[in-house]
Amino acid sequence: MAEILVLVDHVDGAVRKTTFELLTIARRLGEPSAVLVGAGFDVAKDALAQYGAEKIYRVDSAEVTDYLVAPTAEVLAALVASAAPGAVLISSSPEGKEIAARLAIKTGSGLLTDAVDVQAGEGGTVHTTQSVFAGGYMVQATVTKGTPIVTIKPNSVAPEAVSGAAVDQQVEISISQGAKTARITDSQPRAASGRPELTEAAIVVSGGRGTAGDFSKVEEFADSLGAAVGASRAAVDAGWYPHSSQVGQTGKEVSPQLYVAAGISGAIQHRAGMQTSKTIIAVNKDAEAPIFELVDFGVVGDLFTVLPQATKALNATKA
Amino acid sequence: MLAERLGLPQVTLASELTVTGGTVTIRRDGDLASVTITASLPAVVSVTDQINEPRYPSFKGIMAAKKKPVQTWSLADLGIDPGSVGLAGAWTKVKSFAKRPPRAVGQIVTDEGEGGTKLAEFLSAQKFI
Repeated sequence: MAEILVLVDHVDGAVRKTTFELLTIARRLGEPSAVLVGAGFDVAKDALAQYGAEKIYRVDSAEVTDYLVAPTAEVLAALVASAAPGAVLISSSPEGKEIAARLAIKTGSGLLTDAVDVQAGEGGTVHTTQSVFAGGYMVQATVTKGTPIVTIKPNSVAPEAVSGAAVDQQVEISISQGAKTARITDSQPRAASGRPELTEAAIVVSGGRGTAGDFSKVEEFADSLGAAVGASRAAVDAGWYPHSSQVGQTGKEVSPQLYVAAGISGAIQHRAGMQTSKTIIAVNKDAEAPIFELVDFGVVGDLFTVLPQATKALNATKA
Repeated sequence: MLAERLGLPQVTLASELTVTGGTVTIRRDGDLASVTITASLPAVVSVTDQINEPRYPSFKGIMAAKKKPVQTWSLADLGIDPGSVGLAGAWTKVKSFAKRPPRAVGQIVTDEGEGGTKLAEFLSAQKFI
């Protein structure tokens, strides 16, 4: 069976959920081998084994971790050359896509980005499904040259816990001088909200102009569901929520199990960021708001009365 | 990909950018942190819409634009083999595509004092809690 390389997305060994999704997809295509760049092997090992990694290639040297993107691409290129995998799967984060792009050129391979599904084709090929044009069209594509390199969006598949051998393979590699230039020289961490990350969350609750700057009811409702909080462009431009929370054409694209839009009219640019969500709910005072064209359930009403009432009912059910 | 072909560093998603000497420094506002990234020049750089407010063209600028030269190159001018570019030279292939079917609109209720309760009932019925 072909080996499938999966680049692990982690912070000091704490593996992100998207990696478990990639391992699950990798199992459809062949035998998953995780590639762990940076410190944290002891922390990551069990989690990677639990989701099916048969092997873990690991590289932890300052040469690789001190510099952005290019050294990781070199590590992957070396593994592609030595292991001849059936495909390389990388998460569709901005950094993931840059690594995938450099890797594609290094190995002379076709690259497919932002896949929402990957299936095995005949003869070891790989077929992807991509959602394009703000979710308006679905495209089936395949790689015709080299080793297929695919970046995959979060929430594309439910991760399956399946035990893997997770054999440790330390990788020795020296990085070229040219790869060692772009580096992070300072970092100002944001205060952690304690809520899930927006693009990975199973449930997203967003607030818009209708909040008039007060997101408290949106946040309490989100917390009763364990959801991430998003914002429309109007809310971000008004300074009520940061740009990193913006859902829409010039913000993030999310596709959670449930998306709740509160006080958001549903202009096309916002819809572009959320209309592939599995279930959509809206709360808006305006019965004519375009958002109601998308909903599985909608409430025409004031979010300042509807959301607290719903929050109370949900918390009572959970108790 | 461009940076890789040129053998240059890439410094992307900049909300702020400065150049001093032979170094470019940017601020990138990520989800978990705002980071400062530096690289030596030349580099491939990309910016987000947070980077600045673009200038508006002046009337003089618009008139001058009509006289600016536009250079056109053919593949032969750039020494590019036609077989290696375009649809024939692509490294990926679209097999098919389809328009996503429109969503059927579900239930819409008007809040007359019970809107929030009905919302919670829908969520319970759909097993979201």
